[in-house]
Amino acid sequence: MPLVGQSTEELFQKAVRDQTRRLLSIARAIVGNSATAEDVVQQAFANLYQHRNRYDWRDPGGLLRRTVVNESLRILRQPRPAVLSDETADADSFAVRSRVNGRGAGPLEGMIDSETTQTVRRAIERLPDHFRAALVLCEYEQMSYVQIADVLGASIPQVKTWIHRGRRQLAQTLKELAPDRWDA
Amino acid sequence: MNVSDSDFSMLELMLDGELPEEAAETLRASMQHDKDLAAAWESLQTQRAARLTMWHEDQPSQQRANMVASRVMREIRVGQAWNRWGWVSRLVGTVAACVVLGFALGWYGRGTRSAGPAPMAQDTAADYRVELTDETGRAVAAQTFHSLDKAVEFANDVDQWRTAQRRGGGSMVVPVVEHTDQY
Repeated sequence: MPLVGQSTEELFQKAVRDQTRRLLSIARAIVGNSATAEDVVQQAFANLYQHRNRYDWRDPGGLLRRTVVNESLRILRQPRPAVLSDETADADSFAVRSRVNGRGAGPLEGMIDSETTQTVRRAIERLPDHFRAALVLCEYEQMSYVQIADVLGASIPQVKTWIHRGRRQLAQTLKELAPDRWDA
Repeated sequence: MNVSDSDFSMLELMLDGELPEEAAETLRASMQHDKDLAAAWESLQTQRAARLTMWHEDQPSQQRANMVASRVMREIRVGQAWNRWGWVSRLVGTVAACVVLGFALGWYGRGTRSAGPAPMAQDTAADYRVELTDETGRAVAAQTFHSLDKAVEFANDVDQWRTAQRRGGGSMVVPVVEHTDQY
């Protein structure tokens, strides 16, 4: 039910304005490139708009996140054409910085150099789609296992397994890609 | 690193904030004595920090996000317009199809009727035949007419002629009017 004085249409537009950046980030983290991420977000909004009267748009964060994750996984299930990496394709679109100044997760973040970031990116690209999605929702979105299970339509033990195996696989791949740095 | 699977799972739960506080305290205390456990914890944190750095770097600028948001709204408006026009064109198409169908059915029905025997044609094709017979009933002559009046008139004439012949002692000729179809 919309708020008094605000129609569903207005609330939907507000959601598009307020949430697009966050949704692009999630989609980008799951699908691996910015052009596809934009398509995913656009399609997700288009799908939701068709059935906009069914949903409560006062707090649409969970709905939008779930829709974008599912749309991302749907896109990943389709046959994929070769996609240029973001570094060469649209460096202007997504800010690529060599260093991050300790945002978000703590002091360790500021110590990661760009070479390490590239290695991690390559390692994450090799993860199975569901492992990557679960890891993104857990670490980037900081969602609980219960919320992740809800978004991915899986059981909590399944989500735990995906995250655990994803981390194991990532650690192994990092050792292979940069043994001097990650062979701990 | 020599960390058991169960310990590693506990470390992961702690990393994800899913481990109850008491269990987390116990695990932290264990790390004070177990260097492998502490190293595993540090490794988990370092790897997560690397992933977060990468995801933050990939985050789009606000300007780019605004462009995408504008595109989303524009696409939705275009989609709405197409839906409206689609509805109108479907309506117009349906009406046109009905008109064409009605015309076709009418044309077909009209064609079918003209192909069969038309009542008027049957009427016009009907002829009236006046046969002249002798005393034994054998036809000795015949005359056809397109109308009954003419045929009756002819028969009356022949009757009058026959009466005159009787008076004169001629042979008997009887006119018989028949309705015939000319097919």
